[in-house]
Amino acid sequence: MFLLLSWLLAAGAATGQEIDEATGLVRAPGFEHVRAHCGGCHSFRLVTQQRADRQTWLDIIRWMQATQNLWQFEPAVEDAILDYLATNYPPRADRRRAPIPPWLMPGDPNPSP
Amino acid sequence: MKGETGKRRVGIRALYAADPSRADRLLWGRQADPLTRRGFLRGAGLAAMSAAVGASIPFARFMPGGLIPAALADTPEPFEIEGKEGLIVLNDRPLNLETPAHLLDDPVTPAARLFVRNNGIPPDAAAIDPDRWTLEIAGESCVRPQTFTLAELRSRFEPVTLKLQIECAGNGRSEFYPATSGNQWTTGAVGCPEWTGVRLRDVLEHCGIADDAVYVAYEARDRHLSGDASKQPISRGVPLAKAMEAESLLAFAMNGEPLPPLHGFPLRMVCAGWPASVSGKWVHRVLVRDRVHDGEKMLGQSYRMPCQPVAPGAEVADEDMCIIGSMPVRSLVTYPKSGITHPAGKALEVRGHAWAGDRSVRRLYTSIDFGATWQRARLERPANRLAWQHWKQAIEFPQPGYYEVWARAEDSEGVSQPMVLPGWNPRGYLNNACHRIAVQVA
Repeated sequence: MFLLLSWLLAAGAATGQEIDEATGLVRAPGFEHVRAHCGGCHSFRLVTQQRADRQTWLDIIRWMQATQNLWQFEPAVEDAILDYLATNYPPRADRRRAPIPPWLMPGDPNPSP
Repeated sequence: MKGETGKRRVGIRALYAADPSRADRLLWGRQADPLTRRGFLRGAGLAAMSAAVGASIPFARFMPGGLIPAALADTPEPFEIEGKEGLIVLNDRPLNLETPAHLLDDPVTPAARLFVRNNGIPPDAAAIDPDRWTLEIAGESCVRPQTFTLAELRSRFEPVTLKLQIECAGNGRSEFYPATSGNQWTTGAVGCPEWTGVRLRDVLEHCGIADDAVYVAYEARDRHLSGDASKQPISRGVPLAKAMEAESLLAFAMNGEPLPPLHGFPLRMVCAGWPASVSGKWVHRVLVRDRVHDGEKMLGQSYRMPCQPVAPGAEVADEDMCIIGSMPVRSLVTYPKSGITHPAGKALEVRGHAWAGDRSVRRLYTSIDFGATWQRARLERPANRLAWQHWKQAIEFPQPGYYEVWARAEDSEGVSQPMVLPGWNPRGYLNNACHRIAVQVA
């Protein structure tokens, strides 16, 4: 019945990802650029909760540049940011409707309070 | 953190049972304020917890019961959200909170259980003097523009108290595939508090509505996320006919108390049954427009659906997107909580709420066989128009095993909730697929 603490600490990193404590972002190539450019107006949570492909990430950036006072990037920086986002926050697997998620299933050793 | 505890097998419940403060510190590096036992002392542990919650919503459930579950991740000041226990934090700047289904069980949603959706930065509640707050009625189609204090609104117009449900248009967005941009709500961006205020139509009629009036819109005191004072974070509205309904309010109280700061203190609009973004918070100006309102988040793709259905992932031009009106029929199972184990041979009393935008709900069905057969539940009438309706049903399970209880509401026009996801759309609005909970009968 006990959730293992070690599992908890490792979770969120099912793929071996290291999470930056201050921002919640995955530590991976391009992380520094995202940290420098993507937390000025909104929290990094707005990034980490999102999943999208490269084009959609670019659309979001263009929208922020067009309407939300986001500054322009050097092309190399923009590429690095897009590579980082598309790699570490890609779309989820395809489905018409997902099963009830694991944490709402019977036998969960640690159901919500 | 790992070095201190990683070698022992410790259950998280045992950890919290033994010493909640220590558990907080071990898991999150969190230290609460020693006096209030709330908040995050000097921000300690806040980033770790935010990261865990943000990276994966399931982690929100690990938050202990007494914890205030959010903070501004990058402010050095301790920050707490009063009275929001148990809500899931989706994004903390702007602040957005949703309520797990089982915490929406109350017939009238308490302030602590009402979702929070902000487009901008709320005004500083401490700096608001309600005695000096004014509401200006203006716009091209207002005959006699004028300004009211809150006291004048209260004394000149008939007070009205109604239970009215509000729901974010993006409620359910997290289920769409391909994923769509925005707060990844599951089922909890809805609630039905009791609002007290004056009818919008009484105030508008007092000021005179010109024959060419088309739309009624609000402007509010929240600030744009970028800090640019020339930008409004949101300014939306409704067609004149919706504004003139008897249930469309300028509200100054919720559940018998002044509006909570996060819900629009001291004055907001409530136009129930439409995307909750039309129910503007911190409202200081109402415009009677001679055209469809063109304020922030009225144009482009915001709060709009494709005018014609589109395939998942399709690109839709702005001119092919139409403003969302009434929200679709929807329901929740608020008791029991998903994931329970129920004794075999005993009926399970299941209950929840159902609502249907501008319409009412005429039937509520449940299924325990994945939609193969449906049983009609007892459904109450709404307390008043546009309040959600309560339903309940005693369910008997034929044998032990794994079951899902699905709830499906049907509105007054015979329109039902779908069991799979409804039509994909670029911004992920209006997912009213039936709610499902899991029950193990043993």
